[in-house]
Amino acid sequence: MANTAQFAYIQNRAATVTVPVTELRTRVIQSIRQDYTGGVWNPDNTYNWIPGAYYDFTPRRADSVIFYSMRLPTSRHTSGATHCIGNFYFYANNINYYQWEESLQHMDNGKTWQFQVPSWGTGTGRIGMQNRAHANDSNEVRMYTTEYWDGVGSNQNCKGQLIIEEILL
Amino acid sequence: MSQLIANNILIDTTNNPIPLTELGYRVIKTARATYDSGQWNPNTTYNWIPGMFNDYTPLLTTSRIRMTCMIPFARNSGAAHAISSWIFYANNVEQGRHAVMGEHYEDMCTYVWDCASWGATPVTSANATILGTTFTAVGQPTGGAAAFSIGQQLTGTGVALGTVITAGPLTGSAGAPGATWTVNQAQTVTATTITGTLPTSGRIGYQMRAYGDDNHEIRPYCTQYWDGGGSVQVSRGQYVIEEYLVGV
Repeated sequence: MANTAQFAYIQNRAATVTVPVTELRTRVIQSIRQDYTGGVWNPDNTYNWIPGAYYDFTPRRADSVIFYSMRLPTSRHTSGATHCIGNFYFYANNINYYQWEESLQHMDNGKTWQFQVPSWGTGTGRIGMQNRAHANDSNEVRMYTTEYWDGVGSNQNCKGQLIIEEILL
Repeated sequence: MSQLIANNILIDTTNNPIPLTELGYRVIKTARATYDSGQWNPNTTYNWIPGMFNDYTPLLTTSRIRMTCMIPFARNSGAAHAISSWIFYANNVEQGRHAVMGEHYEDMCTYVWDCASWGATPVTSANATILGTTFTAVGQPTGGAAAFSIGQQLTGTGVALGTVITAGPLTGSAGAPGATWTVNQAQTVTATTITGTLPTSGRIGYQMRAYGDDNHEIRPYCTQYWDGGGSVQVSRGQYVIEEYLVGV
């Protein structure tokens, strides 16, 4: 039997915390986390999904938003020209939402990219990043690696981390 | 202790009910700091980046810890080719590494790290039960301190998320089989292996080193070539820690 008691607030016995029930509307209803430990990825001059930076995600609701966060180490990695150039797309369910370029002399970083897009329904869709190099094995940004580590120039394997949260607003 | 047990909460008749299972994912503790003490000059050994670490004690051992670091940096000295190596730690365990490098490179980047919570070595009891709010460590406690204690979080098949020992031992002694304790959540758990863990303080944050001291160097919290006049500005950094439960 359904219980139809109505509450405007939830309060703990010590009355130190009072939560209006309406504040429970915004909530994470699904989340995934994926750590990439597969080592350096070498792109070419066609667009490909960046390993570890995409997920075939099935939203639970059509009226939610999907939060995407990817910590993605990038590096020139001792290959080709010192001027490394990478082009990026962010897709969700086959829609190209954002595109940008990363370019610098001797670029290394490990920053995090974050996007939020509307749910595409309750079917499975791929959400994530694609990349191509300006030129294959030259003018190139490689993922999950470093250059000139610890002052001796060794290349390190770097982990990436993907977080996806489905949020009801 | 009063407890409301329900499957759904209906906010109003124009909204669908909220399944209680959707409230499992929640932030249970936060920490935040803003660093505004000016540029930091690293050297060629790894050091904690000031303003980018916290000696953190998790609320639970079953949670996740997410640290978001917003760090401005600039070349600001020596060779144009600025090079640095960064390692992120949580409770003495390396979580990962990356470099920050570029010619005349300046930026302010966000780095998000999400890792498992930590705690003391767990204690386990076989055939343990929780009836109402009474936990009975039926089997001889083993592992860690070989004794349960107040503040430990209990996990095991059928044990409610967030179950914590709040008092005891009510009977017996802490390290003996059959000792009973009070927990914070009433439930019925019959004859299963139950593990108790206690959160402990651990440092979470970034260490970094320069490729060369005062040469080939990235410096956090500053700029170069500001406003076209070449002055060095002080830039603030900020970290946010959120400890959260994934839910069921």
